[in-house]
Amino acid sequence: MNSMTRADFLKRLLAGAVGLPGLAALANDLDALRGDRVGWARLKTSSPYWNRHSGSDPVLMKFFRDETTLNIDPIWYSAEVNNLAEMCKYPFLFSQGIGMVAEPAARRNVAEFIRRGGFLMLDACNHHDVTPDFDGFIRDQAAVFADALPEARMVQIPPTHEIFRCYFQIPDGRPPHTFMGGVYDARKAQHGLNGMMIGRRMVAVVSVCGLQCGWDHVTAHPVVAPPGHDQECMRMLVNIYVYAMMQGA
Amino acid sequence: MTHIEWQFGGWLRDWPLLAALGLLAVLAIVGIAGILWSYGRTNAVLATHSRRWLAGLRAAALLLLLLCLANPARVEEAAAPKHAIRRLAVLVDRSASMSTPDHRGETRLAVALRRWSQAEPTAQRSFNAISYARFANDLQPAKSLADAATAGTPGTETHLFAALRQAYTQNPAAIVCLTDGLDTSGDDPAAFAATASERGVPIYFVPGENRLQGGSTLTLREVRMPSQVLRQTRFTTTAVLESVAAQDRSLPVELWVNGKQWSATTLPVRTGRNELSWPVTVASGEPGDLTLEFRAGDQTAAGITRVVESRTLDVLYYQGALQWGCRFLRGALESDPSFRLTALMNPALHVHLMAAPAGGRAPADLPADAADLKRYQVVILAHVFASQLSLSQQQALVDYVRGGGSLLFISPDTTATEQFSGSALEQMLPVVFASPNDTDETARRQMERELSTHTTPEGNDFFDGGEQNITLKPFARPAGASPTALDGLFSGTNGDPLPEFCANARVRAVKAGAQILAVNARNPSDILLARQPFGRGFAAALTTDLLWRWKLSLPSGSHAVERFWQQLLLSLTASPADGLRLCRLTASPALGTPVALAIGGASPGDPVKLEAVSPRGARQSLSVAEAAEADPAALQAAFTPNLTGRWEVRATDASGQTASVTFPVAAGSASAELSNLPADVAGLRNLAESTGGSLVDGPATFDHPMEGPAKPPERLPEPLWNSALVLAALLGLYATELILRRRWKLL
Repeated sequence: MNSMTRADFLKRLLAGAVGLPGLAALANDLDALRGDRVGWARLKTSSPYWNRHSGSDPVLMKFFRDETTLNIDPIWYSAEVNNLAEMCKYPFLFSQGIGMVAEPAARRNVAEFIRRGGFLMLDACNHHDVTPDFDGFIRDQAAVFADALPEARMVQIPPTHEIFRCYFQIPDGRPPHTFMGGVYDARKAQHGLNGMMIGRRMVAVVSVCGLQCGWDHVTAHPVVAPPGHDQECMRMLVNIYVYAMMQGA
Repeated sequence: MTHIEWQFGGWLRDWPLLAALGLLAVLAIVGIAGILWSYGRTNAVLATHSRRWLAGLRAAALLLLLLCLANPARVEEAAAPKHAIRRLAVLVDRSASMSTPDHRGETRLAVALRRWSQAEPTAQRSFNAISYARFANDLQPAKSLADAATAGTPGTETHLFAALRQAYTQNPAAIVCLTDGLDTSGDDPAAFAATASERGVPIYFVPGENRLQGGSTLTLREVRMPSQVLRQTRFTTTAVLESVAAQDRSLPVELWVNGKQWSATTLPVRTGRNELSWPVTVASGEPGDLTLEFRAGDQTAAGITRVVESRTLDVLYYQGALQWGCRFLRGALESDPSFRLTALMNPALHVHLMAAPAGGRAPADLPADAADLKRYQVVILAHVFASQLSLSQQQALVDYVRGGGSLLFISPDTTATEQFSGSALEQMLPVVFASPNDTDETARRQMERELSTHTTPEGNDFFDGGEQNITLKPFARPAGASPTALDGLFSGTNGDPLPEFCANARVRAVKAGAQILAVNARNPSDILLARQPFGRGFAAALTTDLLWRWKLSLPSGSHAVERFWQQLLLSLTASPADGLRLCRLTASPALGTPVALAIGGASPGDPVKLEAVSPRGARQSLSVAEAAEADPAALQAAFTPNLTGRWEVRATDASGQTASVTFPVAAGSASAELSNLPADVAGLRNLAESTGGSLVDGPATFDHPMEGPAKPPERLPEPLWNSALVLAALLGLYATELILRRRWKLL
């Protein structure tokens, strides 16, 4: 057992007495600047994977609260794609993808949610069983949008776009990718972020980055991603969220 | 001369002094005994002088500690003077109305002097000095009552309240005023009554009445209207009238728009002098010019409002907290290109994102200079925090609104709004926020916060994703609110639903003069939207969120949200941009007497053409000069009519805006002073009683005898213990003792 000298004890006591009020003040300052309370929700579709990685969503919520002044609930919610009123409780919905949304009513709900001003974040899981083909994933999302929201068009978001620097600086404007088993996949890595645009307004982001896998895998399976990858993924998502908040609906 | 005493604080304060001292002495003796005992039995061998030093140091520290615990305070009492001089000021109204005889040859002044002669002996016994003064246009000292009542000639106006204010400056114990109560200066009686109540100096009025037959005057002073309005909207135009009446009556007034009667009403006029305003809501219709002409009696006042297809409105949006309102407000305004939105974030949020209209550039932060804000017609502060706005930024906003800008303050957060309590920003807002020192409010909010922070879905919802419980509450118009042009914000013509909100900040009070536009339908005491003019601009407060949940709850085809925001912002900018106004200052124009005119609403620096048209149609150009006012747009002119009959004066500015007034010119002046108005005895009685005085119409008593009960001396307690010096001494004694203990091997 390590013994502590009285001098050490007194030094630590003094440091604590000096430092704690400062830390508490910092935390209070951040809390004092929080705005309206908002919930983080996943879009519940018929896909068996709609809530994949949701167990780590509170990790993202904590990141939001620690790194920003967003007054986001610490827990996650869900919104049924067949229930428009439920969807419209949230200005931002996260989804594993809407390729499985086949019912016309559900597609109309997605379109109506967006037309009312909502924002969709579609992020493909990097697992082969969930997303066997990343190019196909993007095509599927585009097809649903083309059907439900014909006025929208998909564009690749350039590295110079504000979405890569509106809150955190994303190096080189390249979003982080999470790879299956930690094995680099050049074909997947070539994809940046895709934005669904209605006029000048971005209404959704389509990503094959596996951002959710990033903030979940690193905590659940630390070996598959390099240290700090979870932070990179959460930073990218914070940027997308902040950008969605600040542009016109 | 002052008296100084000492007192204990805390719970000792209620004890008798001897008991408190006894308790402290017992504690000191016990403590010192303990110290001596403990230093008499140290483990290490100590020299006697060392024991004495250490015991002495600790005893000194103990005594200082007891001193702090006793909370002693030094109380200074300012002794009241034993024989204060109680002086009575007697003011005599020497205006023309007091000197005009009735059919029996009796003047109001004579009646008042007779009444005062009955009360004067009592006054002389009650006060040990009496000073005299006379007043009409101003207050002048007099040597005696006879001098005050006879010297000089009667004045043309009665500045009653100004004279009383001036009398206050001489610190009299009481004031006696012989008057008929008719202030013809335009001074505000209510404002003076408030001042008089605060001063606490009793005023005794001796009313002067006689049997003069009363007359009346009417002045249609000016018309206020916006210079521009959008097509198919509603706006308000207002006529300002001044009437002096000998008895209660009704005054018919009409508004004619482009030569057709639009509205008519009768305004109640009470006996005496009345300032009346008649606001009328007008539909703008299609683009073109609207000539608005008010008619009252034989007078008219007119002006022109231009109806335009669209106009550009520059809006600066400043957001203090990260929230979704910006996205939805931008969306609501972007649907109309006439709104040019510049959006910026509180730098403390570290969001590197701002929006500026094409060709424009957003400032890095909220400007700290009003000049930098002038290019915006509206500034929106959304969910800001007092700690994040510097004093110079707040002052810039105040100056900006005072100079004609409009501010919309939005916050649903009571914790944030209460920090603005007492700030410069709050002073211009139409509401008063709860203070952070309001303990009930703080406790309630703390409970709400605890509940909201710790509320989680039940059962497995935490893991499976539950549904967020959100309730939207609707706006409502305040009960009993009179219809205005702003009703279009909420309902009516478009059949739009009322706005709905999720959270709102508590408001402690609404300021006098503010207009409440919306309240919480479920709790009408919650004020949601209010506005008030401030300086030349408008300040409004919306105490809800930015209504983004309402937008999300409506079908995408609904434009209710866009209409609400657009009309709200337009409504805040409509009135400050008043059109050209021509105001007649001379109440009763008479042949050969100059008629003064004021011109407002003109662009500074732009020439204004002014011409007078005689009853025979002869035109006469008038020269316009800048008025000696801070307002650069204020101009003035004057002309002398050489004919009796109906005259017209027209003003035209560089942009083609016109305004006109017509009025009769009589052979002689019929001022309020000479209108034979009856004495305002009821008003005098009310005012006197509000100050602790009374109406004197015979023998009187004065309730302030020479040797009245002494006012308790003022006590000024000053704590003696909570100073840094005492703390330093305490720590110094203890530290010295520790050092010595270490040195002498006790540690």
